[in-house]
Amino acid sequence: MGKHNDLLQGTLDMMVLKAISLGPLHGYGILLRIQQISGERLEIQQGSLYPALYRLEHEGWIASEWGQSDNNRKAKYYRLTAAGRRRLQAETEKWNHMADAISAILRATPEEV
Amino acid sequence: MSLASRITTWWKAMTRPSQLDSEIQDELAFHIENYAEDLMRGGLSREEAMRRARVELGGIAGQRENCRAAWGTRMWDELHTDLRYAVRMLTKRPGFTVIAVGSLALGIGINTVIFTFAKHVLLDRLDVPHPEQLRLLWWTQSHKGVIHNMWGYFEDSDAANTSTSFSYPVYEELRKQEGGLQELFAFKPTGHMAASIDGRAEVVDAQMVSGNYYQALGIRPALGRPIEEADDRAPGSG
Repeated sequence: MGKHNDLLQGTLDMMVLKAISLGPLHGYGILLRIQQISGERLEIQQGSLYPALYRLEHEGWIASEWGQSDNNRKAKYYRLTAAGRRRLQAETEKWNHMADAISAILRATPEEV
Repeated sequence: MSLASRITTWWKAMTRPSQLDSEIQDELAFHIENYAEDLMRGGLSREEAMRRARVELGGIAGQRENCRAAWGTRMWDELHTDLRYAVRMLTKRPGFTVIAVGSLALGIGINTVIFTFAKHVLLDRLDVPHPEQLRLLWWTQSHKGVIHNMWGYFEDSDAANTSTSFSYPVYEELRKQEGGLQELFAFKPTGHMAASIDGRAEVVDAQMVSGNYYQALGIRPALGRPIEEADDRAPGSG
């Protein structure tokens, strides 16, 4: 695993929670939805998705249930819990805060310093 | 984070590992098939699509391990492995095992005996007929109190000084009063003393006690007579 993955570690959780917050999904569906809403700009490492899902379920932020997929197969569906919704909100705020700070730094001009 | 979800997932991973394994397996198989179908729509052969789907997900066994570990089993799995390794090494070297187990047993056993004995002597209640009826009296005075020095035990704190030592005249006065006490007896450790027993001198820890001491405590010596009330009458006798 390279540095790229380390960077995505925290954000993968957040993106998974966001994807599920839009409606229950199975693992493959989560992958597709993140790629779709990112405008195909982000590609999730498939290998890190399922351990992340299990970790999130362990933390109680998502819950799982077996159901029928669109093509009539047995699939495991994930949905957001109340704790997960709070977590997503907190993570989003933290992310926006940090993104603001970083973009302020990058916008800085010599006159401002 | 929620404690309940942590416990339920961990419990399932620990108690029903094969069910969890097959669920993870099903979930990953579903993923691979769906992804392969999407790849086939892109023009790949079924075989090539399945192969690529598997490769991108990474090894199934590794995935299963990582998913299970995400439910908090890593520590227990490692403990399990360590224990198995320990047992294997111990059976391989029985001599070492005997010495190790023997010294542990000896150490634990002796400690238990010593502690049991010390507890009985130091911490348990006095070995007299009615220990719950015994009280140790003490007095307290401010720093401006009249008693400045006494042969006995003083405790100084910021607010006052206290002591469990009473002068003999005070003890005598207290005895004269009907204070609801069944008996009032006194004792004073005097440290080491030489005692001659059967013509042989020995160093013993001694206490001076009032004449009613043994009678009040309800203790009888196995041999001879204890100090009695009558011994109090003449100074220096007994």
